[in-house]
Amino acid sequence: MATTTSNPFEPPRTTDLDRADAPGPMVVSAEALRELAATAPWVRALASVTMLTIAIEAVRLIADLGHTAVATNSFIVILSTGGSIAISTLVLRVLRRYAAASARLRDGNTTALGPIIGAQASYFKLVSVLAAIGTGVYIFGLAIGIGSGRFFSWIYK
Amino acid sequence: MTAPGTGNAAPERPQTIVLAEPELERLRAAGRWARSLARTGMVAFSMVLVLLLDVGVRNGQSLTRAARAQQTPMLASGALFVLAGIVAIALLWSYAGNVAAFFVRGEPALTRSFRRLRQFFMLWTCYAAIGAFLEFIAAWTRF
Repeated sequence: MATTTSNPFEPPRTTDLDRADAPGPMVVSAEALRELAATAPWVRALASVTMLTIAIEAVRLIADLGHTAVATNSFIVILSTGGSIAISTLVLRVLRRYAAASARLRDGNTTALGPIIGAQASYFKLVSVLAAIGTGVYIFGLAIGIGSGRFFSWIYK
Repeated sequence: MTAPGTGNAAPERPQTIVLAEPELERLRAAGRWARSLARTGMVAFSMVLVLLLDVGVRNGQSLTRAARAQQTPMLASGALFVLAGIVAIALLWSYAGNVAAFFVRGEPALTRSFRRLRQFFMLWTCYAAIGAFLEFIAAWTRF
C-alpha cells in the first residue's frame, strides 16, 4: 500500500518496504551473490546496446534533417531525437556504473555489493522518473484530445 | 540462455555477506522505485490500451491508416515494446515484492528478487538489441 511523504525527492513509500522489523541480521546468501554476478554480463551487454542505439539515433537524426526542408519540422526532429539521445545517455551512465560494480563482484570483490544495490536503485529511480514524465505528457495529450472531442467523444453524449 | 561474454568462471566468493544499514536503505529504495516503475508502466499501458480500443471501435479505419503510415520496422518496434514492457512490468513487480519479503522473512526472497532482476536485464537486453536493429533499418531506409 502506497503512503505519502513530505519530501518529493524520496522514492514513493510502501508499507511493506518501509517496515522496520527486520528479522535479525540481513544476510545475502551465496546463491543471491551468484545471481548478482550472473547479471553482470547482461548489464554490460545492455550498456553496449544502449551505446549502439545512441549512435544509430545520431545517424537517423542526420538522415531526418537531410529530408526536412521546413525549419519548424527540423526543430521538432532535433527535439525528439535529441531528447531520446539525451535520455539514453543518462541511462547509459547508470548502466556503466552498474556494470563496473558487477564486474568487481564477479572478480570476488564483495565490497562491490553496496555500489551494485545503489546502482539498481539509481537505475530504477531514473527510469521511473522518466516513465512518469512520459506518462504525464501522454495524459496531457489525452486530456487535450478528450477536451477537443477527438477521443472518447461518447462522454459528451 | 547463455550470458553474453561470460568468459572464465568467476573466482570463489565468501558464502554470505551481512548487509549494513546504508545497503539496506539502498535496497529498500531500489524496491520502492522498481514498484513505482511497474505501477507507472501499468497505468501507461492501460491508458494506451483504452485509447486504442476507443479509436478502434469508433473509427477502425483511421487506426489502420495510422498503422500503414508507419514504416514496418517502427511498427514492429512498437509492438515489441508493448510485449517486452508487459513482461518487464511483471518481473519488476516480482522483484519489488521479493525485496519486501526479504525485509520481513529474510532469505531466500532476496535470491528470488535478484533472479527476477537478472531475467529483467536479459529480457531488456534482447529487446534493446532487436530495437536497435529495427532502428538501424529505419535509419538506413531514410538515406
